[in-house]
Amino acid sequence: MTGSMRVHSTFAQEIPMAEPARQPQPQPARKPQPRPAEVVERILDDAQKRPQDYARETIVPKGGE
Amino acid sequence: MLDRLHGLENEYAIRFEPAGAGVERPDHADVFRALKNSIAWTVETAPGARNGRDQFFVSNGGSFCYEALPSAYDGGLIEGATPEVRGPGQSLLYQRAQEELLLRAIPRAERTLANEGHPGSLGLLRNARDAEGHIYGPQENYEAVLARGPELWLLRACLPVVMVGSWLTCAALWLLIGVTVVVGLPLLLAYAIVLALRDPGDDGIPGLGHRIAAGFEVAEMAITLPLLLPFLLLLRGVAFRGVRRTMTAFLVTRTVFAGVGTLDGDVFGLSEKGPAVRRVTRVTALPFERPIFDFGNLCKQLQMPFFGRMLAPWSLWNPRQRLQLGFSHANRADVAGFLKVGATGLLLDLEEAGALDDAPRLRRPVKALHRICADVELKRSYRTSHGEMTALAIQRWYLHRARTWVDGQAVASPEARRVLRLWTEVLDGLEADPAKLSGVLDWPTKRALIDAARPRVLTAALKKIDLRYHELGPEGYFTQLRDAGLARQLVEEAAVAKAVANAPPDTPAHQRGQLISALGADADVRFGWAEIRQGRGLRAEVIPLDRFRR
Repeated sequence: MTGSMRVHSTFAQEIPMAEPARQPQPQPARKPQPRPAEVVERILDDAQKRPQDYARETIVPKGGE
Repeated sequence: MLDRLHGLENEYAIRFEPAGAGVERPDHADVFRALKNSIAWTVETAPGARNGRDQFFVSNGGSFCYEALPSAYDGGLIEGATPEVRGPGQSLLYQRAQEELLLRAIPRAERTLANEGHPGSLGLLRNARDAEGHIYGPQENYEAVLARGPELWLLRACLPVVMVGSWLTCAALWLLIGVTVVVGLPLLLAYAIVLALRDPGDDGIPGLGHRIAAGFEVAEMAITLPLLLPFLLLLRGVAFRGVRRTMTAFLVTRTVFAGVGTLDGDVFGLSEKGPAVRRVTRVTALPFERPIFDFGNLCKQLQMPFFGRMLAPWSLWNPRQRLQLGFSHANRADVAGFLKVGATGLLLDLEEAGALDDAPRLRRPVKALHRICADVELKRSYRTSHGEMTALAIQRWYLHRARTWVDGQAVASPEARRVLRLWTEVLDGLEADPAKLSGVLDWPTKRALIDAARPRVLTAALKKIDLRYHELGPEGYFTQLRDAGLARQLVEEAAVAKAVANAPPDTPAHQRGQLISALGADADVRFGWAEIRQGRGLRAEVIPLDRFRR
């Protein structure tokens, strides 16, 4: 779990905006934001759901360009 | 300063999750058509000139088309090109607008596919490498000086010879088409009869259509290669030579801030495309070369007579042409995307002002790039004309030179100042601790997620993080981080919403956008990047999109 702890601390604080003048305007009816740790947990949970199927569903036969 | 036209090309991998066990996956070409129809419900659209790729333009001046190899036509990608923009701020804005437009189109496209017998969930990934290691993805285009002085005149002197060769190639290709029709029609007729007679449970004759397409592809390459090879060698000698000499070290080492990170097996690297790069400059027309500097766009101008534009090669007379960077990065993080384009554009300004003549040159650029991609600690050094330097030291050299040059200008653009400020910030951060740039740059963000998952999940789940980081919409991992305030944003959502339908001012895209509104519904009009053609054949009226060119 050390890796998990590390990322949670990595994402523990909201990243300060470098350009305050360009911050998005607050939305009046916006949902409360989840805590950073919850977001990371949700991503890690989703990553474990059918990962082989996800990889297969996103294959690009013979590539592009 | 930072005023040149530029644009980004992206490729979106298609994800389709069937709604049930018995549901068949749609062809990617069908997915593209469903998205195209859905986009037309959102913004005004107009047909593009590239019929073979089902290209269309949208009212903000950008374009979409279906990108596929003839031999794998059903498994292609969605290619999205931003409108021509000026400056990294506009670039980022229209990149985000392109994503937003596709995202809005997905629900209706899903309904269309369901009605056609393919119920399921559709997603798009803006990345450059799939789970099997296939490489595709973004390219950058900048208006830049093609050549100067004797090199320019050498190029111009060779143009008539090249044009004659181009016309001969054109004639050979038409002959090939004629032979294909004469020989191929009976074959196709026989194939259709076999298909009509076959058992419905039978899979038919697999791959026959693909084999015909692949055969045509090989024949086309064999005919065009004799023409393109000398032209490519000429371009390799003179085209964008100053840029290649002075900026290759920058483009290779900018991977440290622009790389999006990727997982190869269990090993994390900085760049998806970097390990696949084989050359600094394209020397053949073969697709697997994957150069840093790609001249494919200039070769296409030569091939234009094939598509009915006999004078197109003469546009190569212009000393300013489109510089195409084949080695780019599918950034989701705003800061990385802004800086990638901003620092590159600023250094092109310096190069054209002669302020980069003593820039460091890597001894073996491609080998250095491969090593940089594998060096997540950013500690290795590389042989350059200035001695051994780390990737960060090379970036510091360019940053210092850019700051000195900007400070010396009578009027410095605020956007250039912003580029310098962010560039300094990320290099300082990378030197101190890259992990602290989670939410600012892509690869530290992706790496933090993968490191968090490593102790408790299988390798397949780690690969899913690598891939789904790039998926558009609320299910994409980067989007989830951004929506939660864990990634720094440089553009307002309201501005993105406006850019979905409105072209950037002061660009050819603005003129194109206006004409799409006025003429888009006319079935006889074809839109292109340089001009619009109304009518067919030699009597077509051509409207050049040059009102906002400088």
